[in-house]
Formats: sequence, C-alpha cells, structure tokens
Amino acid sequence: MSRPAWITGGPSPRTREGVAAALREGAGAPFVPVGSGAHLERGERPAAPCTALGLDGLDRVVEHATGDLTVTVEAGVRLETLRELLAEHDQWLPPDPGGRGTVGGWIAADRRGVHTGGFGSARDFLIGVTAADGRGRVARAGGRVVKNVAGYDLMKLLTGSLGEFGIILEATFRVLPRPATWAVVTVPEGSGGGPTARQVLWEAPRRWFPAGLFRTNLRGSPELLVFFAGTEDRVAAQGRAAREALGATAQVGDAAAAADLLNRLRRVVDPETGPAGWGGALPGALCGDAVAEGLGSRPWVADLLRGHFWCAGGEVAAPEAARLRAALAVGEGHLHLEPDPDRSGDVPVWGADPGPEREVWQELKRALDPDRRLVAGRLPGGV
Amino acid sequence: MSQVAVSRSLAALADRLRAVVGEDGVVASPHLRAVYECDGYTLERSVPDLVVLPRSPEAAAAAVARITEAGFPLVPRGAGTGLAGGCLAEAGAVVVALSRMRRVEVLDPESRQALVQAGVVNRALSRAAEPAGLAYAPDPSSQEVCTLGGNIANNSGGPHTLKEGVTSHHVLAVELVTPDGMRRWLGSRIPARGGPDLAGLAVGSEGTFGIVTRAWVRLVAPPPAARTLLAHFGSVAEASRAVTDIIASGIVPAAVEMMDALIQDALTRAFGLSFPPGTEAVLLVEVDGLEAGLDAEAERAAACCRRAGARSVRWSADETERQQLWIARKRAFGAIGRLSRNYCTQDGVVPRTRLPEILEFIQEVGRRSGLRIANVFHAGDGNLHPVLLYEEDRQGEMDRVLEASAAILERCLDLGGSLTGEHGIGVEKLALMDRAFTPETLEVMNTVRGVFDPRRLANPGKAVPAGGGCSDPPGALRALGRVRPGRKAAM
Repeated sequence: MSRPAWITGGPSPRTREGVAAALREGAGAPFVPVGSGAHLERGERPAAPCTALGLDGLDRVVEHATGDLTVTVEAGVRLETLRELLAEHDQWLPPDPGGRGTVGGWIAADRRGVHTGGFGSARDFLIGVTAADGRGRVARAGGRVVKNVAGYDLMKLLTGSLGEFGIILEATFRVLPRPATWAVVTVPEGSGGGPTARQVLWEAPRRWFPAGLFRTNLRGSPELLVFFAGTEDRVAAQGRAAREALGATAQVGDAAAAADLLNRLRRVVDPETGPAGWGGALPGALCGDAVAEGLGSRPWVADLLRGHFWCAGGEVAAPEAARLRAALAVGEGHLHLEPDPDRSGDVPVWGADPGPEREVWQELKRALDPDRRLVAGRLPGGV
Repeated sequence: MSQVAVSRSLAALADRLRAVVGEDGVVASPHLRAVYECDGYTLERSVPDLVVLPRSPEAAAAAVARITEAGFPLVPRGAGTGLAGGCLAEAGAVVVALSRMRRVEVLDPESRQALVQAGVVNRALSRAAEPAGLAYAPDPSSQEVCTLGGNIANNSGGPHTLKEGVTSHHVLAVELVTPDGMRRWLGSRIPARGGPDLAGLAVGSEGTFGIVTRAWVRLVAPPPAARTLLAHFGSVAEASRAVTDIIASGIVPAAVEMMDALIQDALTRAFGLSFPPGTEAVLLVEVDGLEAGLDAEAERAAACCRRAGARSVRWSADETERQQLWIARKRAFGAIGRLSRNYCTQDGVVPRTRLPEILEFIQEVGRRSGLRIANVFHAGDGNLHPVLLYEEDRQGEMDRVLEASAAILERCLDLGGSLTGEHGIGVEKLALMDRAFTPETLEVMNTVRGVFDPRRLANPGKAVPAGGGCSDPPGALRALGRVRPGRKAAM
C-alpha cells in the first residue's frame, strides 16, 4: 500500500518503552503511528508533514485467556492474525471490520464493520488499553476483565482519535464464542406487496432480534437482508418467523448463503476494496428514497440497526458529495469521504461538524501533546 | 477564609441560587440537609452546606456557574443509591441534586433512542418506552429508584448486563455542564461522526468532569420469552465451573447470578424461600429471546450445571415464579437487613475463571477478621459483591470492615481483576487507585480531567486521586479544620 506524501519513513521500535522514548525525545516529530498503513488516508491531510513511527515491531500476542474470553495483543498485531488465533478456539471478535490492517490502526480509525449493527463497534469490545501520550507517558487504562469502572475510560478517548492524543501500544478485548450457525432472510424491497425498508426496520429488531439488518443494492435493486446468528434451533426459528412475516418474496438462506452475503458486504466496507464514502444517519433516514437516489448506481450498504452506511465505486466528486450530504441532512446524517491519499483536497473529507466538542478536542490535544509530537489536523474540524 | 466569612459567602450563594431555581429549589436548613449526608455507602457521612435542586438543564448550568464563581466545589447527586460514596459532600461542597429533572424529552421508537434528563429514574424510562415495545437495558438492582444521571456517572451495570452490556454501551451522547457553567453535547445520536468518543469517556467519570444533565440513550426490545434456572451446588467451586462452562459453550445467557449460603439464609428469612440442605451456592441462570429454541438452550445450560456437579436443577415453573426469583435476587441486599443492622456492599471483579480462588479468599478473610461475609453477585462477568456484615456500635468493627474490604479488593487486583465493576471508586476506593494504576497512568487521567475541570471543583476527592501537582479538594472549607469522617483506609 502506498503511503501518502505527507509521511516520511521513521523508526520502528520493538518495545512499548521504545515508542514512549521516541515521543519523549521528539527527534523527527511530529509522528504518525503506522501499522500496516491501512488507514492513513482516513481524515483530513495533517497540518504538518509527519515521520512514521512504525508499530509493526509490536506484534506480540500477550495473552489469550480462552476460558475468560479475553485477548490481549500489541497494537501492531494484524487483524488476520488475531482472527486466526481466535478461530482456533472457536471464538471471534465481532467488530473486527475484516480485511488486513492492524489492531492499533483499526481502533485509532474506529473503523466500523458489518457486525457493528448487531454486536457493536471496537469501543464496545475494547476493555483495556496501554498507550503513550504526546509527552511519552505510558498509561494503562481498563484491564482484562469484562466489567470494570475503575479510572477513566481512556479506551473511548483513543478510539477514533487517529493517533492525535496518543499512540495505542496494547489492547485487550472481550471476545465471544462463535455462533453455531447463521442464516439470512433476503427480501426485495417493496415489490409484489413486499414490505418497505421502514416496515422491516420497525419489526425486525422487536420481533426477531437479528444479528444484522441491511438495506443494499449490491445485487441490483434495493433489497433487505436480515441476518440471524446463534444456535441451530433458534436461528432456524428466527428465519422461519421472519420469512413468514415478510411475505412470499422473502427467501431464507442457510449459513453458506449468509457467509457469502456478508463477504459481499465486507468488500464495500473494507478500505482496500472500498469504500469511497461512509458515515451515519438515523436508521429511518437510511430507509428513504433520498439515500438510494443520492447514491445513484454506486454499490451501497446501509446498516439499519445502528445507522451506518458505506458506498463504493471510486472517488466521490464534489457535486455528488454535496447532493448526498443534503439528502442525508434529513436524518441528521453525514457522509465522510475516503479519497486517494494525495487528492486535490477540494471537498471536505468529514461530513460532520464536531460543533462545541471541537474545543474540548483542542484542549485535550494541548494537554496530552503540548509539544506537538503527534500528528495533528486529521480529525473533523481540522483538530 | 474564616468561618464567619464562609457562612456569609454561603448565605449569599444561597440567595443567588434561589434566583435561579426558586425558593423551594434550595435546601439550607440543617435538618433537611442531613438527608444528603451520605449515599448507600454509609460508613462515611458529611452534611453538605447547601443543596440545590434545579428543574431543568438550563437551571442546572446556571446553578453550577454560581457555585463555582463563589469558589465552592459541587457534588452531583441523583437518587443517592450509589455504594461508594460518590456523592458524599466532602469538604462541605454544594450538592446539586438532579432528582427534579425527570423528563423523558424525546422517545424515538423508530430509531430506538430516547432523550432523557439526568433525574429520570432508570425503571421509569423502560415504563415510558413500553408502549413502543422497547426498554432501557441496564438494570441495576436499585432500578426502581436510581437515576440515569447516576447510572451514567458510575457506568452502572446490573444482572442483565451480561448479555446487554453496561451503561456505556447504551449511552450515545451526553450533555455535560462543566464547572464553568458551560453546557455542551459530547457524542452524538448519529453513529460514526468521526473523532474520539467523548461521551464514552464521560460515562463513568463519576461527576469529576462536571454534571451530565441530559443524554441520548439506546432502547432495546425486551425479549418476549425467558427461562430461569435455579441450580443448587454443594460448593462454590462447582458453581463457578458451571458458569465457565455455560459461557464457553456459546450460550449467551441474559444473566448468571450466584448466591452463597449466608444470602440464602437472608432470603429465607425475608421472603420465605427455601433451599435444599447443604446448598453452598445457588446459581440463577436466565436465557431469553424468542420462544422457539428457548427450551433447548435452557436445557444446554442445565446440562452444564449437572456436569459441574449440581445437586438439583430446576426451572421456574411459570412467569410469576420467575419474577419472584428476580425480585428476591434484586432485593437480596435489602434482605441482608434480617441478618445484621449494618452492612457494607463491596464491588470487585476477577476474570471469571478465578471465581473459586477469590471466593475462597473471601471466606478466609471472614474467618480472620471475625466478620460474616455474604456473597451475591454477577458470576457471569466475574463481578463480585461481598457483603460485609457489622454492627456500627461495636468497638473497632468498622475498622475491621474497611481492612477486610481492602484485602479483598487487593486480591481481586492480584488475580488480574479490578477494584470496581459497576459501583465506581467514589471516596471509598480512592486510596486503592495507586495500587491499581501506575503513577504515570493516574497523571494522564488527571491531565484529562484538567481539560474539563482545571480547578478540580467538580466532585473533588472522588474517582481519581489527585497527584502530579494537582491538589484535592480546593480548600476553602478544609481551612475550617473539618475532619473527614471515618475513612481510615483512605488516609
């Protein structure tokens, strides 16, 4: 993966202390933490050129407590390594967004995956973190237990911070046993007396407890995908109930069909193959025509459980972005762009204004990184 | 400041606050203020010098500005059901009680979200959402009275958070009033807005960033059916093994609760429940969801219990009995009143697989200290609640309770656990934070706090100990020579 022009090569410490020392010494600062480089194009172009602080040397699995369903890894561990490790024990980390990337990069970019709607995002599974702030102070918050309210939740501060408040060095997640099986109910939207997206949005989460609920045009015209996960009995029962309620055009797919569809969705969500744009809105707004029309013929996926959406199909140009942003405004939504790293910069990348929160981010930046040893300017509002 | 000057300054502040919240919104008389001397952690008490009860977020912000302008610290308070002294008005701070701010401002059934004021009672939100087929998931045992503001301050849990998650999983955005009186939203009801998750950071900060006045929360559909299993074990170790097996088997139970022999005794006396002789541990396991497939899942959980050595396993006969079992569980703390006049409820966490070790250690601490210790807790997530029974009047007994509590919590840390799973640090556990976190970590936490509350006027002396050049509390009233009550362990 090519690096954006604003980054030059730098050190790759092998230890957490090495990262902290580089920040304390400050030679070459500002630094941007780099794992696999999968998320470097996320966000605005930084205020100043940065030196890469490579984290690929921090690639140890610290502890996988299989009986406790927790895992602790260093930030440079690849998501695929973690995925394989967990799979050996029939466990999984639902918010894993798929694709390559490293654990640290995933958290810092707060990348949402296809299971976010049904299970939650990184912040819902991250139970402990070790990080170095811009002063080179190493903080270890949370812990290795699934329930813990001692001290401030620095995990939340670092999630989505794009490396501006600190460099994530180690992370502990709670994990889950893998569901015994999956199923999917697919239904073309509104055709032949079939249900509308809004009807399904109202019923599905109340009646069948789906593990995923999507509206998408990946197979041509808009359709609804309702995923179920769990034990054989319950998944079968949920699938049957949903199919009956959704009418004659609804079809039940088995575990293989569900896996195939989830993989298709993942290709839109994964930064290596998509998306050109992503964001959030009230789920009801994602049911409307405005979104489908605004996105035109682009492949798109909307998670109706929590209100995320993604679209693929190449860079979104200014007029299209403006049109879609206007359409989403109805549902208080926003579209962020993920263009080429060395883009011209004529369209704002972030579609949401942080509002009064911006000054808190600025204060946090000043307090945790007073000498600007860490990358700045990537967050919304230019922070 | 002399005592006379402080009194004058307080009287002037009371007048300024009345202008904001009305005559009946300020509690100044000593006997009425005494109501606010402690929360559910009764080992320490301190009567606040003033209590203010705003009726709106705007009034709360105006009150906060006036309190801090006058140089007084503020202590937010919901229903006062906290168990760690999180709303103790240490050093004579002004209590801002949010219990009058109890409006559910928006209920959005389509997006399954609600906008609530901080004083909304936890259970009241679920009642308000019920006609839309929704509920608020976190269910602390005190849910009939505790407020959402208090839940947010402490990141509260409850028996059913094993499946549904704790408060922070359900809070999307908070309106925070910082000590300068500024009111601003952190987070958003819309996902993936970009940037750090400051709403998540504020949840569990125990009022040390300021006061949360409103919040957007998620609502969920309550499961239509549930089965509750009651399993009796001859030892705590066997019951713990069953817990590990159930979780590892892929079942996601709604709740897994454990009760030891002493709690059974209390429940028998209070509710007439009976348990087979020789039962050392009772497990309450609930699975829920659609009716279909539920019996099979429940049977798998029962099989785990039998394999682990359960002497008997039975299902709640019907919904009425199931509800009774939960009422008994949620009122277990109250039932302890049948065993002892005073008790201190602890809150520690260990990795689930270390439950047998910690429970054995708790028994040993009980023997060593001569205290009776009952255990009723959220076994599914390793969240312990040892209840230490004592008599306030008995010489030296309170000190023994504090020592025993500290010993148990330190052992939780040694086993890879935490000082608190859902009650918070409050004043109670402040002295143990040095044991749980490195000085550098506490320094970073204090830096973060400084962004919201540079003068450390918001709930001083709670959550994160001062250090690294910060001092706590700010001192006007400490200068009067008041002594903090009772807290040997924290001195």
